[in-house]
Amino acid sequence: MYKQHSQRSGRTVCIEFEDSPMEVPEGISVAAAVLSHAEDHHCRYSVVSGEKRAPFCLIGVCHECLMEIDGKPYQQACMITAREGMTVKRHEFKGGKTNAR
Amino acid sequence: MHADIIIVGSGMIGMATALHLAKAGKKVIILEKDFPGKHASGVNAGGVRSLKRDLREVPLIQGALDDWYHMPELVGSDCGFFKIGYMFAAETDEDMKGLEERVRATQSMGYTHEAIIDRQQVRKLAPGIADHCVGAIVSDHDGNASPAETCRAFHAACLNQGVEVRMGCSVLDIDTNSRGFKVQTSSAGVIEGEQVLNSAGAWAGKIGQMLGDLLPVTPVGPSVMVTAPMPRLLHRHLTATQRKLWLNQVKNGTIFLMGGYLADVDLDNGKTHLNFEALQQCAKAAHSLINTIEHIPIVRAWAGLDGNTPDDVPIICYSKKVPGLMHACGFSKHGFAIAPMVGRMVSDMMQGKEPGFSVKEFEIGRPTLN
Amino acid sequence: MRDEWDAIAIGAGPAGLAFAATAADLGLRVLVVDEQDVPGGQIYRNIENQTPQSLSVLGPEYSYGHSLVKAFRGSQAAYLPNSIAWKIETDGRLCYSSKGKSKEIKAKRIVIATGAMERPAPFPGWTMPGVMGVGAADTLIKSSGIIPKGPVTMVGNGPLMLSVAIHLNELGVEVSHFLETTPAFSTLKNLSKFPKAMAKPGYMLKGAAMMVKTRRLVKHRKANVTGYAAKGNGRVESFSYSWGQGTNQIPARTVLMHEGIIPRTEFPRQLGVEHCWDPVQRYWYPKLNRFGRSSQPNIYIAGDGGFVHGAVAAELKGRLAAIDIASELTDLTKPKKETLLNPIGKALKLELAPRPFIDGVYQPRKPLYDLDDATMVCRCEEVLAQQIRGAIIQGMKTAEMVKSITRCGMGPCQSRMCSCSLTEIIAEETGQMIKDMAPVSIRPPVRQLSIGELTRMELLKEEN
Repeated sequence: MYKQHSQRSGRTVCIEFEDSPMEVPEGISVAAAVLSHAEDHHCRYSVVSGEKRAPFCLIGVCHECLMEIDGKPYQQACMITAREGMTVKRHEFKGGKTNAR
Repeated sequence: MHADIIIVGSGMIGMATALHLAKAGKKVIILEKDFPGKHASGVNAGGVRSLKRDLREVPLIQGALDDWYHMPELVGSDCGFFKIGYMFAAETDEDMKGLEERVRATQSMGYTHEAIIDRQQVRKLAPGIADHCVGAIVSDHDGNASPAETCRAFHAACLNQGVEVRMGCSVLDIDTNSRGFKVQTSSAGVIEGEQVLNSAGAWAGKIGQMLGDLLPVTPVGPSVMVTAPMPRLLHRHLTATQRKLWLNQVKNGTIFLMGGYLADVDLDNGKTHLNFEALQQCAKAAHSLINTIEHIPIVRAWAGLDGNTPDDVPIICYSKKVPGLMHACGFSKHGFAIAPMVGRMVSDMMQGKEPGFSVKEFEIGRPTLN
Repeated sequence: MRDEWDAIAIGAGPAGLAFAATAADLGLRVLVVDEQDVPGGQIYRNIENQTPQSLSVLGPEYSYGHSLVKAFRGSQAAYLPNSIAWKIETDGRLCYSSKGKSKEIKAKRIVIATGAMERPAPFPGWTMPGVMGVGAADTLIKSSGIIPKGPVTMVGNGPLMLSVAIHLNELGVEVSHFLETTPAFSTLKNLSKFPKAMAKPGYMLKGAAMMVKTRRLVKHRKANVTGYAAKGNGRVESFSYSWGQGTNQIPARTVLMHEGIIPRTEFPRQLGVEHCWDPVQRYWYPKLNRFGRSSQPNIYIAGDGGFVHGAVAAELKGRLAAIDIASELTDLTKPKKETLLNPIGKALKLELAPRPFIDGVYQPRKPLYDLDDATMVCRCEEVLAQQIRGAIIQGMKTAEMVKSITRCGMGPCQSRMCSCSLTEIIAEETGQMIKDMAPVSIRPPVRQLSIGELTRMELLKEEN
């Protein structure tokens, strides 16, 4: 879906994405890493219906890119630079329809 | 315009009372300066709690729970109610003795809604709770509803039953006359009625003042924080003996943090301003009780507006000074759960019927209020 | 780092950078709080880390940002990157989160320079993977060097469509479909504003050249598109669009949408400052005096967050705010202030000359928010247009009431993505004029805050 264009430094970092190692260019955001290097580039499942969601605005407004990063839930992946050894996971959590209609 | 009963305030107290009065054939008008449930009934965490309630209120919550479990029959909606118990953990052996004493006392009064559990059972219900918690009392028959849906459903049920609900309509002044009351409103002209119910929440004191009745009701702004949805962490709504706190994890996984931490109140404008020192205290109370909540993000914080009494027990009685003026206010941040029963009770009282249990605990003249 | 400043700017885009450099040069102790790790905001995003090749692709307007960043770095202004502001008070207190730790600091003046966002304009299927903003794609290029594999379908209305199409093309990405929703005869209808726009002939010519270039590089172009939808199973697979007489469906894996740019008003709304409604571009913007001062005396808003006028105007507005604040907090004399203001005022006037024409031509099409019942308005809580209309029918006539009953706006994005639609639908269904309504309110924390972080945050002591 997406691919790397400019190899700025040529260096890469290795992150752990969904329990598998993933080599990504140094300096890119976690959201960009998921978009360009993951097989399936959705980053979460909606907590309401479980439908797949992917980064949308890339500037920290839409909150679609919420992922579990280094064990912390609900991190905005577009605002976080991928670092060596970082663990990145999709929330599997689906809460079901809430109380209010 | 004329009504049998004029109700000031379309929170749960006003609406529940209106519903039962209308069912009994009375002509009811509710005057609401904003919209139903705006300030308290619609914006709390939805807890329906019998645990740790002042024992004077136990008949109220027990009657209310009957309604909560059968809301579709009453108002055509389940109001989002689901069963979830509460847990009040003891943080010291001394506190545990106190809880055991409480259970003995409640049982001797014929109440069985609170039961003792041990260390292990506590950890089953709240894994990750601090090591020093030695046991707890729990209530299992309690639950949680959706305040917004409850208010919507009661509003609709009232309308269905012929109650007139005037929104955006403030009470400017109330006078008495030979036939009862004359209420001047901001957008519905003058309304006359035989009786008035003061269920005006944070504004109950102001309404009382209009008729020269001084009520010990202080406006307060209880604040709440809510988190993002999390996997099930708490199997009971949780508090503990050494802290001011309620931690409620509801069906969609979000966790409410509260405990009577107050925002600054601007009553005239109906606004609150969050106090982050207070919210920090709330977070600390929660975090030091169960530190597995460390990384859970707070998504939103807000505050409602409610009326508080000095002894934290509501005022539900006729005015001593003004015949026909019923007060049902001062619910001190915990009126939502008991409102369905309060509505039945006040409706009975305003029809001259006996409510079926002692109500002198809720009178203005009670010892704990003076 | 100190706790108290003369001024704190939030945001390191052109407005924040120009404000801070100017303010520091005028002797103010100024801090810039920036959520990113390097200066540039959105328009000049990551400018310090570009290669000569990427700079040539992004063009001279982008490279211009270098001078702003250089001036900022060379000034006495302090820079706090990786720091996310989440609460402002009218008395100048500000809470921010940096590397997992929250702190409260204070300034005599706060300058909100958080810029703008792409207008959230729901359409069926817009939440599917494969759909993102046009600006978002540009941000990906600037910040991470990532491009779509292509072919790409671009749909929407606004000058940004042109520049991004050109960027993508220069990076070897095929833009197969370029679907414009700019209202029909828009240029003709706004012709009366054209003469004023020609005060900047270079700018206008460049725009025309971009239009010509874009038309040449895209495979299929369609104008006057009136509606569109994305379909697929778990991701976008096809895209349908319609115009006056017809409709078409194409295979699509990457859809970039853009229905204009609107000010980010999270902080102004959190503060409760007065707002105005612009009926042409259809957005709320904070009411400001000519220096950017809001209805709250200690709060300024500079740049696109005050009104969307572009990067150069943002820079000039940043300077104006700096001069005004310096005139109150330093011994800057009135005559000296006038001397400083004069050229900036003139430059800003010139810069704004084409705006009425541009804003008019690229105004959102009238039925933009006539959403199908099944369209998802609130992405976070999955609230459909029909649920909002249902709530209104039940008597919920304000955003607050609709929000409480439907949960629209209660998710993590705190109504950033749905407040526009919510406002428009309520106005449409209740017959109210939006200008008579109030913007949807926002409570702090304006950004998420972990419980642990709140327990450890350093709050300033209350003064009263």
